[in-house]
Amino acid sequence: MLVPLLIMLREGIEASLIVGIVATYLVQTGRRSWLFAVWGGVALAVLLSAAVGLGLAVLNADFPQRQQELFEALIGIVAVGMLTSMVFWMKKAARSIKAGLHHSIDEALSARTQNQGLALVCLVFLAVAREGLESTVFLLATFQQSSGPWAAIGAVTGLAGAAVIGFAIYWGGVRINLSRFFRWTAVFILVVAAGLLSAAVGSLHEAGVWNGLQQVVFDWSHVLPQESTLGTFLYGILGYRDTPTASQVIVYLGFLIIALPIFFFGMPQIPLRSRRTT
Amino acid sequence: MNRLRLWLAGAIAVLALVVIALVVVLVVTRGMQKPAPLEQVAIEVSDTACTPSAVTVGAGTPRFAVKNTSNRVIEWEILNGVMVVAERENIAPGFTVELTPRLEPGSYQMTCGLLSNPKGTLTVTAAGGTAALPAPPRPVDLVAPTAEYRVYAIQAADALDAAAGALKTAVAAGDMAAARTHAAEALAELGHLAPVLHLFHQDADALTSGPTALSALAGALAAPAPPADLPGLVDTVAQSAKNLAGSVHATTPAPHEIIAGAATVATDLAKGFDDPAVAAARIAGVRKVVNLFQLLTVRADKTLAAKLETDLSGIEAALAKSPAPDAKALAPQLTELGADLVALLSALGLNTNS
Repeated sequence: MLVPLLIMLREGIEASLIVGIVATYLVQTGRRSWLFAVWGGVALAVLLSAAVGLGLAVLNADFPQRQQELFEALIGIVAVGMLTSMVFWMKKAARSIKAGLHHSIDEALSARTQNQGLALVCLVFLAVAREGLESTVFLLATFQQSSGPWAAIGAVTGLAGAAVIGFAIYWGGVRINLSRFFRWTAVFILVVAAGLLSAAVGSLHEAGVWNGLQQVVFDWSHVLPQESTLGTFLYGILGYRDTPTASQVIVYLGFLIIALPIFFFGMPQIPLRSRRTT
Repeated sequence: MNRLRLWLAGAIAVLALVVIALVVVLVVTRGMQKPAPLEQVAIEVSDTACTPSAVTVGAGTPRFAVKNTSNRVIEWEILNGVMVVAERENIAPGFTVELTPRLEPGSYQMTCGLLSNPKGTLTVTAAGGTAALPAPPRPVDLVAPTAEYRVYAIQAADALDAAAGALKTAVAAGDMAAARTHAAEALAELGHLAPVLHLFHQDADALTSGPTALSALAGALAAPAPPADLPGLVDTVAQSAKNLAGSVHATTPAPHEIIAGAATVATDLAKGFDDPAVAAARIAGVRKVVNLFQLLTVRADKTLAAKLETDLSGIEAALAKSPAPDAKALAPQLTELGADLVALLSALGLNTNS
């Protein structure tokens, strides 16, 4: 029961993390009215994945793993790009905040709000669809192959757990003070993005596209297995791998080494300081 | 914003219906038998290794069934150097996943669970692809040609019945020309049925031997003075043909009965025949058998398939010539055909139960 649970939890976290972040971000930037589109995007992606997965089962067709990996990699890279730009854009917008007033952020956002809202909803849709097909196929297998109901119950529980984590991020996120949200959530989002990027490199390899720097840097599969409970959380949130390849480590660290200093020191003004000076 | 709301709601509703429909289809077809592939390589991955750890398959699209017998979730990959050629992820303990990768000839590795486990080797040979590897048919493969043959036999038996009935009517009307035509038709259909007549000898005997044999009757009709008891003879013929048609309708011949019957037809013809037209009709009956089983023959033994074709087309061409060669000249070719049909029985794995 635990293994199916953790598998679905892992697949689910990858999606719910992005959904939670996007939903929080929309609310924090005064666009609560866009939340319906977020849920719509999630529902659409879940149903589309279910339809494709069931369709494959009805046709008795092979799961197109290679294409799935390529899809995962591309969406992962798009998500990294959008999350990163979101972080830096948030920071820029935060400069216009005086004492955390939401209406001023609305002014700052109004010009781009529509387009960005749409783009974020698309990101939510893609992030869920990215994990959805593989999850559907796995769920079907648990229904068809397991002898008792426990594997299926575990899988569904794992999925529910991932949803809870997404909601937790959202609930926590919308309660944080705005300026603190911008600063610390941004760091968290950058770490998530680094994990996504390194996972995308792994997917590109499994899609047969990227074959360089595949030396395994360390093998912790006996110490902290990726599929253990802790490993699953670390994988889902920080992008942990028990046997990372050189290219994954380089991309992960490289992204953080470049993005974090730019975030903290690249901009002359950050909200806390600007508030003090006025 | 409202347009987006509407659009989302519509798309969600449509997709929800599609998903429900697919679930229904899946549940309904759940009990149905799925066609199993001809060849499947079963691999078990334990905590420490793959079993078997060395696999050889033909190039093409071999099918793998990978079972995880370890107690952790695994992924299974076919590697060419560092490149992932094909893989499956999220194989939970006790689960089996299937994959059908396209593989070029060469040497590959398979991952067997943990990174520290020894990798298995996968050798892909150039032997013309999985589908072309010699393989005797499974019982299920024989179903289609056998059923098709049954349809053919029923059509021939019905045509024979109709011709015999028409023969009886023509004799009663005193129309000897029409009687001769119908007798020839009946004789041809009887020839088409030749490979399976041995299954219906009770009904067929009257049509193949004695004064009511169709060949004897055709000869009698051609004579200037037809025999006195002609109406009685054609009556028996019509009745026998009707009975035969009934029996053919009620019977599904087994594949080995059909092919063994065709072999007997060829060896019998090799002993001699009087009428080239009758011989041609019987060969047409044999041709039908060979054609129906041809796909399976090619898969099991390409050489034999080619040889059967050569045998048959040679005999057909000779019989079509005018004047037809005599039976003696054709005997070696017919004997050859009979022997090859016997070989076909073993090639298809049917000789044990014949």
